[in-house]
Amino acid sequence: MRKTMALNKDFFIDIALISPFFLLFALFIVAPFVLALYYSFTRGITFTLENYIQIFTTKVYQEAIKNSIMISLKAATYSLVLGTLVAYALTLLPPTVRDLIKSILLLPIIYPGLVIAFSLVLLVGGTGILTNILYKYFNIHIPSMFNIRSYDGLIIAYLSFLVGFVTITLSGVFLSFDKTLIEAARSLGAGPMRVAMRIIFPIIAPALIAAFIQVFIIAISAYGTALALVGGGGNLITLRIVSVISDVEYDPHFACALAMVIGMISIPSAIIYGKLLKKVVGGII
Amino acid sequence: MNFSEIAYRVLNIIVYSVVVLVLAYIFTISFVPIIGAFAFKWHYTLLPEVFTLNNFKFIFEHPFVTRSIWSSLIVAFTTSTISLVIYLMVILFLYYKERRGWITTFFESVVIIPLMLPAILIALTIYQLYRPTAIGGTFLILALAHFTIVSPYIYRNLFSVSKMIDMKTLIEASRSLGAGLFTTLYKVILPNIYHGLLGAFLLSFAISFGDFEIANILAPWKYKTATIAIFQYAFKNVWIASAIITIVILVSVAATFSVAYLSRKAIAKYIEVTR
Repeated sequence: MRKTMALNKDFFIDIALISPFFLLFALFIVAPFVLALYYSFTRGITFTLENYIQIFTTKVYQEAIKNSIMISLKAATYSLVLGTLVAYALTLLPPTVRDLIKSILLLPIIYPGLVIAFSLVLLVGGTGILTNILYKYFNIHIPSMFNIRSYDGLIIAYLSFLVGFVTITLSGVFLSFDKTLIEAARSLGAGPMRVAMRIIFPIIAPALIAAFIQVFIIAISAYGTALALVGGGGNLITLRIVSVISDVEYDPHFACALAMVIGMISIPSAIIYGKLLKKVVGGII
Repeated sequence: MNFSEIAYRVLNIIVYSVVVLVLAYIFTISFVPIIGAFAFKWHYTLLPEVFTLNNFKFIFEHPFVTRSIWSSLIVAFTTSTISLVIYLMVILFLYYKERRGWITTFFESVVIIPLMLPAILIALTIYQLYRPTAIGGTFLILALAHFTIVSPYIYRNLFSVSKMIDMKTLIEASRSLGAGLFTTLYKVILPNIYHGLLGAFLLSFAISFGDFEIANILAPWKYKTATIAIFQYAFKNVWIASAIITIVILVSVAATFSVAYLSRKAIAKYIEVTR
């Protein structure tokens, strides 16, 4: 009798501790997702595939999907290369400097995306400060060489926070790396290329892929930077969603179908990411 | 000096220059708006031609901007408080008793779900779902939507801190001495993960404060946040927008460096506990 009582009390504590989480999770993640799924397959209240057919057959939306994927792939690749190098450099530095650099790298992640776009436009935009100075004193005209309000500019803006994600995810792996392996290889005369390919790469490969997927998902679903930098002129899925839900033509059904297209790319990637994450030490997410 | 030594030297030079480049980039994008906030006229020089404090005077006198900063603060505070309490309860649940391995795995997979779904999708459908309800026109809807995006950060932070101080043993010891849940919480858990808690709170505060993507879609008219104000003034007056950005940047910087400081404290505590 007493045992059942104790069991009941523990069970009650368990439920009390866990129910608020599940309540909020159901209300603000599961329910919105189910609604988005429902919306994407309906027009009004009738079931239809029209939204998806329209997206996958209209040229503009095909382009938007292609642009989004290409930009995110490029941004993810560049940030992976740079982030790996920075993470490697962190292992050579003393812990205090390492922590300081990590904190600085965390800053652009926390900044709103539009701040980065704003700063870049202020600096190298059409009438930016650096543009003006270079044009006045050195007769170099940046906008005619490189337009910051373009997809390439967007990739540069993305790099500011994606490099931080890669570095922080990888630095945990690099720091827990058994350095005696490298030293052994070096003492036997292996060059950096051989050490990297034969020893370091096989061990850090899961972390590299995880970091790549993570930044790819972040790049493809972010829209603050793109909205402020490229604006209405850009053709990306996220910008299309923003224009569909603007006051003029408010169409949640079509917007949800577009958002689901991003989901179709990001959800499978995130499942792989989740599986790889178990092998990765640390990381901010 | 053989070939491989030279190659390592070259590699080191490359990685250090990448670090310098990345840091210079981050410093530049951070300092341009901060300097711009004090500018009245800034076109052809490295620093503004005419300095002024009027931009700040403007944002503190103009009701729309002042209110937007207040609502950002309210939303960020509510978000961090709600998520901290909820995830503290989850952590307690995970460590209060012996749990099977899959439960931890389950939570680890669940908290990264917000990362899979584009923020724009969550914001859009939360708007659709809760517009007619009681929380529709209040800041709570924004705070609860932000709960989803700060989840992974808070969970990872709290979980790693609890693992580090070996919460399981602490709770077992306290329970075996006859302490109940609340005694254990106040006397054992909170004093030990205090630094981690504060760090998670500040991180989620900064993320919620700096969010634009969800707020842009979801914020009710009375609670337009600071980032929305930035977006509106970016097209009207860049120096005023810079002044609002400066405030957002200061919040981020304060939060980030406090988090670094606090996690160092947490590690110091860990060394103390294990010694």
